Amino acid sequence: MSDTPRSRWSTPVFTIGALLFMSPILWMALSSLKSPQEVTAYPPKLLFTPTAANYAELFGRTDFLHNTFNSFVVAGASTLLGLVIAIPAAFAISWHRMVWPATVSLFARMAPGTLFLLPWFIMFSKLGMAGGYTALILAHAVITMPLALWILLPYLDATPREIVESGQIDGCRSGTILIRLVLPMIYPGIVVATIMSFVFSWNYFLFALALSGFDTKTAIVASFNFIGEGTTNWGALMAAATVIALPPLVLTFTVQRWLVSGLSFGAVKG
Amino acid sequence: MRQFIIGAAVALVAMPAAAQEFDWRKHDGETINVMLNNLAWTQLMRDRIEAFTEATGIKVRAETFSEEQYRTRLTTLLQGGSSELDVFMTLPSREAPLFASNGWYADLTPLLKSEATDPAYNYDDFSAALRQSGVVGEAVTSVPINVEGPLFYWRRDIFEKCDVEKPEYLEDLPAAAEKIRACDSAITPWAARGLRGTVGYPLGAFVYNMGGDFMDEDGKASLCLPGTIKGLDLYGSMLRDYGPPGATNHTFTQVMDLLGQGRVAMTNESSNEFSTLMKHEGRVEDIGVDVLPGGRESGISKPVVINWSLAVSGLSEKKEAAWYFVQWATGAENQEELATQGIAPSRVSVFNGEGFRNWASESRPRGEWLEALLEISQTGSSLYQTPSLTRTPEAREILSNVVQQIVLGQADAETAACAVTDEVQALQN
Amino acid sequence: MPPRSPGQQAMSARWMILPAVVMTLAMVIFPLGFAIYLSLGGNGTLPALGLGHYSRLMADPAFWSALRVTLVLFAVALVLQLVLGTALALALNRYNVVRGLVRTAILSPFMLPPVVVGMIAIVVLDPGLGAANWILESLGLPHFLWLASPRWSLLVVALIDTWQWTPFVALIVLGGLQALPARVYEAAEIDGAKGWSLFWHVTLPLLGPTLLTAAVLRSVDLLRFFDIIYITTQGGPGNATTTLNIQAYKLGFDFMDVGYASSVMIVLALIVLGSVVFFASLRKKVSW
Repeated sequence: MSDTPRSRWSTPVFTIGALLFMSPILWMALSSLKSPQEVTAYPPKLLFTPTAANYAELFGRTDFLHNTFNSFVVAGASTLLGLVIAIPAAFAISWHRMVWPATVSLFARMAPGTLFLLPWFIMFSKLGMAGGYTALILAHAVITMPLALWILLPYLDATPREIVESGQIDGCRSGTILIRLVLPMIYPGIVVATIMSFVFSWNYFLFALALSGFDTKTAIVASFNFIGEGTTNWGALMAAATVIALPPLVLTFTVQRWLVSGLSFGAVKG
Repeated sequence: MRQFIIGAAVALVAMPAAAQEFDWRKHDGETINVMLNNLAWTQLMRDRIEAFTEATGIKVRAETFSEEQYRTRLTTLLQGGSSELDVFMTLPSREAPLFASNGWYADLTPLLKSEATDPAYNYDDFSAALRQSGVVGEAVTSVPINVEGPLFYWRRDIFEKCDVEKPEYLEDLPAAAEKIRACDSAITPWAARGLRGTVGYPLGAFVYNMGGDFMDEDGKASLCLPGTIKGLDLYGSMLRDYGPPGATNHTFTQVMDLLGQGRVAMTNESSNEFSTLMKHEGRVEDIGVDVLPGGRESGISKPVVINWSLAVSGLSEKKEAAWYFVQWATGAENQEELATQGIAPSRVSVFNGEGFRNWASESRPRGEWLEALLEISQTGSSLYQTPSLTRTPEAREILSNVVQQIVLGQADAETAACAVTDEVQALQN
Repeated sequence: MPPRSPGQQAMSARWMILPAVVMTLAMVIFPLGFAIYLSLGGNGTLPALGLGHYSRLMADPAFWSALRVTLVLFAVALVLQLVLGTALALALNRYNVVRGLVRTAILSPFMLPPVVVGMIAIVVLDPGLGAANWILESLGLPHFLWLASPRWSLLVVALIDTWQWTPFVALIVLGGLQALPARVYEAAEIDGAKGWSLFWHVTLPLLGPTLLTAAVLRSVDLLRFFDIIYITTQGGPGNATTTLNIQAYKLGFDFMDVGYASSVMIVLALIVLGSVVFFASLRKKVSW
């Protein structure tokens, strides 16, 4: 695999494929520039006069900017928390080929999300945490943590055992081995885990719907405000959806080069 | 109609008396939390809340959600015993008995009788039927903010072009639809809700007008009644034979998109959608609005009419400040303001008031819309599924399933309707 | 310093796992316990009563129908996503020139919230209003009912989900491909393995742990399928797309039949648990 084929047609084929893959997203972004009546027009309007009215509505009449900020706080913190907890656990699970902790980590992903709403609301209310960021971050961390953990497992499985053993022979503590020797080898995995965790937390609306307070509502929860009898506004809804989709896309665009560059097969293995 | 107007006159006279003495600033500095379902009313009211804070000193934190999300959050908060929530919106025809039995509504009766109520508020000004929607047992549990119901929207121009009479009776719908189809194949003759859980509201009048009901003469729940079967059959077969493709996934958004874009000739859809509809190009000129035609054979015209209401949470620790907000939001002044923006008022005085009438006289559809609302608010019923104290949503789901079977051609109306007798009877206790 | 003993290793392994286990249990014990209590007939005042809800469940045709829908959707979507995701990853890996915007674009669908995907589907796939049938018409093809077809709606849901989550699988597999040890390939090349045989005998076995991760993460979501169906069909037409999770939501939040809804949720949780245990124990078999 050291010689990457650069055939003449690969770039155009992938570009067309990418456009097809993205067409619903492009449709969404275009719709956000249409009037509410034009969005559902049939046949679809390909030529139209773009309007910024939906974005004006979004940022002018609602707290969407603040909601987006809340999303950043919750998604950022739960991603970080999830990674910090998942990395050592994944290391131990991979090293000892354990089954049960890998299973337990997914407990919160086994029952329907709705099962947790009322108990968590009661629980966090009793603790005085309902409506605050902490409750939301914890609720989202049980999504991000197992996600990161399972994503890291194959990377850790692929790490040569000799590296860890050499560290053990040198008498390093497990924590030191993990941070000094293992982490640098699995950083593509950490990049993937970070993207995934952020995206999952950013997009998850059910827990925030029930647990957020007046000031901590996330963008995805707020975006539902554009549907209602006599008030359905497809344009503004698509504008909200477009704004929500941007940060994960920018994040992926930014980090995907680290995911690949210089990492042809086995480069990390030395 | 006469009673309606007389009521209004009395109300107007009663108002000014002791208005000045009421202390709106008694709860100055308090903060209340308000949760609202996203309706046109809500959108307009949100812009006015500042005025309430200015007048009373009460800070309002309002959050809005679309209906499904609203219910999920509201249920969680109330079941979780949250005392944070002070005021919420409620659909009494759906949930009043259940919410009341759970203690989720504050009893407004003592507040109404106390000094916490502005003497000018005049609770009796709300139309009697709407007022009644919020009464559970002896207790007033909520105050109506609007009046609404499904109305018959039809395209005058298409009917004229195709030389079709506007259906005089409900039974005439298929013939009219047939003619329209023959005359212009680009037009879908009929559209209506078919999505699960949403069918009951536009279906109700079909059942009543065809001589049906949701229980038999002995008060036992059933859909297996001759008139009911006819109503279900007509609703289902209109969608099946003359409706748009994919109707079983349609709710008000799709129905109104189709009608607004000029692709459908008639429908039975919520009066709340009227303002949205008028924003579509050309519809002001060609849309006709009326009450759904009555039944020829039965001689019955019994449309569906409901209202959304505001309630004070039974768990609120600031019930009086919350009640101040409800009073203000449902007060005559606010209703007058909203009425001229297309929100049908629940107060008789406002409904018959000059502002609303003038607004309605500005275009023909507006006038027709107002007349239709007036009629359904007097002849309408808020019951459009098997009567059940606490299991109304389930009853509506069963209705939807029956209709979907007819639309999809999986069963005829009689088979589908009679198969669920045990189920609907189980809902009654 | 002398090497640490195996006992000390086990000790530190325990400490490394502890935070993950403690956080998970702290968050799930009360909700799961509460749901089990409700499903056994508890209502806050009385102690839990018995298995009434569960025997009702066993006799409820709606439950069996929802179980069938859930499993069909799960199987179809999981296979499609694993196969297509792996293929996409191999293609992206081979043509390393595909970077930047194009790569991001290809990976983008799973970055949309599923509820937004559902809303796009409502508008685009409506048989009379949507762009999808307009495109078919322009190509001279007949219209399709999409999500309104009692027969095909479940498959359409599976395809929507596949569009959204194939890139997710691809991203995981892509990472896995790039972590594969070069020496194995060098050895294989010396043996003359190429193309399909190289993939089948070398790459695929090495990707085992990666594919298991993808399978587990998709399984927990597919078995609890909710968002897109809830936004588009509400489980219809008829019961064609009513999954267990949709049924549980209706029972719990619309019908307020909390005890019965809890029993559906618990059964669903057990099914998901079974699948996770299955995949987690497979890890021992595929590890290398």
